[in-house]
Amino acid sequence: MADNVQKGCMFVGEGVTLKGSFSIPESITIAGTVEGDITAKEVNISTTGIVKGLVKAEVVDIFGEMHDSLISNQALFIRSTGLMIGSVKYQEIEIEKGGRIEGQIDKVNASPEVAK
Amino acid sequence: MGFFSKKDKDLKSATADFAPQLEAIKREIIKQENGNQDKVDPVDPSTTIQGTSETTMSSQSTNVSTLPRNGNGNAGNNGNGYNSGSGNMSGNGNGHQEIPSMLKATVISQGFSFKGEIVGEGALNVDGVFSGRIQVESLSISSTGSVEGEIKANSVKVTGQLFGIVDCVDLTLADKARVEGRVTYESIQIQKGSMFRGEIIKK
Repeated sequence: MADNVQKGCMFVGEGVTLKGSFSIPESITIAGTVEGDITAKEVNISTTGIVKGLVKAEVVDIFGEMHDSLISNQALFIRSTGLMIGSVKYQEIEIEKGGRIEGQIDKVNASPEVAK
Repeated sequence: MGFFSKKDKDLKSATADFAPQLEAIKREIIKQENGNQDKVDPVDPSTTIQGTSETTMSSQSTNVSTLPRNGNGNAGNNGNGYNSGSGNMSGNGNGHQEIPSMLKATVISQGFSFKGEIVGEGALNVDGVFSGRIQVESLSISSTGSVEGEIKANSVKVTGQLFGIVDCVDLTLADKARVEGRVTYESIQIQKGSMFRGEIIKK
């Protein structure tokens, strides 16, 4: 956990439920449940983590569950335990065997919105 | 389909005439290449197909001739001893992971374009262009391959392009694969560099 206590980072522990809109300059690691919108540079959803809402990030790494909407402007990983349901926009995608994905998928070209 | 049933006989007899000759040419090429660079593995037919232009040519003429038979739903009723592998294909549909790879796959080679329907129990490799309907055990689209249409298969591996409706158990996108359309899968794997657009549904 110690390496998560950094400037501009956020950690949502297992069993914790957060609701709201979050803007994180660096990275967020979610082992609990987050309902709402997340904007971050890097989003890590651990195996116990569940996110429901709109996530915008450069790098998204999903070991847990992600529902609704996801925009990844750099790399999206869905690991073998990961689940993604909803609409996805990605720049580069990688899904490990066992990873599940359902919904509308589209590729984004390097979005000027985040590049600025 | 009518086109093929008409031409089927001609193709069959033509292949029968050429088969021994082609086999000899193939062997010679493999021998030469083995002597020169040790590159071609003569045991695995699927790797020898993408060899030099001459090797490819000989593969093309033989392989394309298997298409009409499969397309007419007659996979297995293959009187031609040269391609007798497909006779086993229809009998052994179960162990899908191993059996199709052991047998000779039907190939649409690079430079060939096929329109129509392919139904069979075995494996299909598309290195060329296909448009239509495919129902096979295992479909592989190589980096030069392009498929457009409706696909129903147990395992689908794409390193080329695929547009259309896909219904499969295992789906793998590798290298610079490009898939657009509606996909229904049970197990999916997408490697870095691949691209997918469209709707995706898990069974």
